[in-house]
Amino acid sequence: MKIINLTKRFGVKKVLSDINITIQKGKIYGLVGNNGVGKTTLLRCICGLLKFNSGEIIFDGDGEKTRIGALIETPGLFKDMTAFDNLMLKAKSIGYEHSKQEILELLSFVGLGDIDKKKVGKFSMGMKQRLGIAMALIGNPEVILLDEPTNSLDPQGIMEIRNLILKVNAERGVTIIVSSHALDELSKYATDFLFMKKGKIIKEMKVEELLSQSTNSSIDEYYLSIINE
Amino acid sequence: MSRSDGIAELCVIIFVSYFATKDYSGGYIKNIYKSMNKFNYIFSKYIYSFLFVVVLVVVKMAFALILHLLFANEYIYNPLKDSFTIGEYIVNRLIYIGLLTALSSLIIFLSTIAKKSSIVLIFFLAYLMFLSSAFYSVMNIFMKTGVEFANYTVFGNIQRIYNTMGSVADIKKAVICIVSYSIVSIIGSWVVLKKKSY
Repeated sequence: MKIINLTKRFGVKKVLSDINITIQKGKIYGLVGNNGVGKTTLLRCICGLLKFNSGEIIFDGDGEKTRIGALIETPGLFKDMTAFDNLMLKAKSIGYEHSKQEILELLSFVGLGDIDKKKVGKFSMGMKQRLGIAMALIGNPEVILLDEPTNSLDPQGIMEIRNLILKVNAERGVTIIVSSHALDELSKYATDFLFMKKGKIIKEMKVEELLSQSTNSSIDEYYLSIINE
Repeated sequence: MSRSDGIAELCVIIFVSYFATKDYSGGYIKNIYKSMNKFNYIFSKYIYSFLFVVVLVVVKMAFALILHLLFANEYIYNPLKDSFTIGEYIVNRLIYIGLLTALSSLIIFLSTIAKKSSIVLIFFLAYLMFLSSAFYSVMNIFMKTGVEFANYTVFGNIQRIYNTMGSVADIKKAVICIVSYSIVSIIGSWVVLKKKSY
């Protein structure tokens, strides 16, 4: 997937400015930046929730048919329905045939297999995030976008989501873009990093380069040095 | 023959505004927006609202029948007293269902724009209770003498159908109102849905 000169304005305010990035298949990208730099806006543009003003997004292979799943901000779930019903409803809404068995396997895959009949309103935050990732996986997407998936989670929940992201990438070969301001956490599983500041991509880096550059300081300190350049 | 007490209209406004905005207010729309057929999405809400209206009117008629049997009052069609036939009564009920469905389509359209049930509820309740008569008075200034703007609105037609059996001309006006409001609202909702961001 290639993003070429993507620009987005809200009125006169430019929130994304000439974004140019190439997303390679099978990798996990960390989209890093402070609050308000445009990470969520960029993800919403990529997954089609927001129309951008100029530029283009070019997909490999089947072009526009490249399937994209997304978990943007909070998972949009029906609290009065079970996890199973939420997934089945999404599958039917997007015209994708998932059998009952496939839905149950997907729930097991994300670690919710034993609570498929429990109503979502009773889920913990971590369980909702895992169900949100399962929702993003409906339709067998090639790319999934996760917008701060570990927000408001405790360390146990953060670790579970991290392991799930690695599992999705390893077992399903899905390309993943994760946005976060917690570089330290992202460095534990992302393969590439895109640093954002004021609506622009200011630096791209592989994880090996990040870890070698930050040996003399903490990763967070190194992150601040990039952002404040 | 009972007069319209506004209860069915109120039920439609409350239920459809909540139902039509639920996907937007809860964030569920983010899960399906890119991949869904947007016209089918809007049309399915219209069909579901129609089914709700059918059930509502049938329940209301059943309730009126029970009251009539208990109190022998004029809650329902009485062939000895009312001057219309049972066939005309059925047509009248069908038109009423159509008009409530047209009302639902307007609610769906406003819900697609506003995305919050509170805004939709406030608008329609305010219109129903306070604003409609003032609005009709203003619009009547632009109408030909003897022609009432209310004859071209959903609420105006509901009151007219309920108060009288209606001539063939009245029924034609109501059917045109049903079809035109439904088509414009569905297409309008589809256009807004395609252009909005979520």
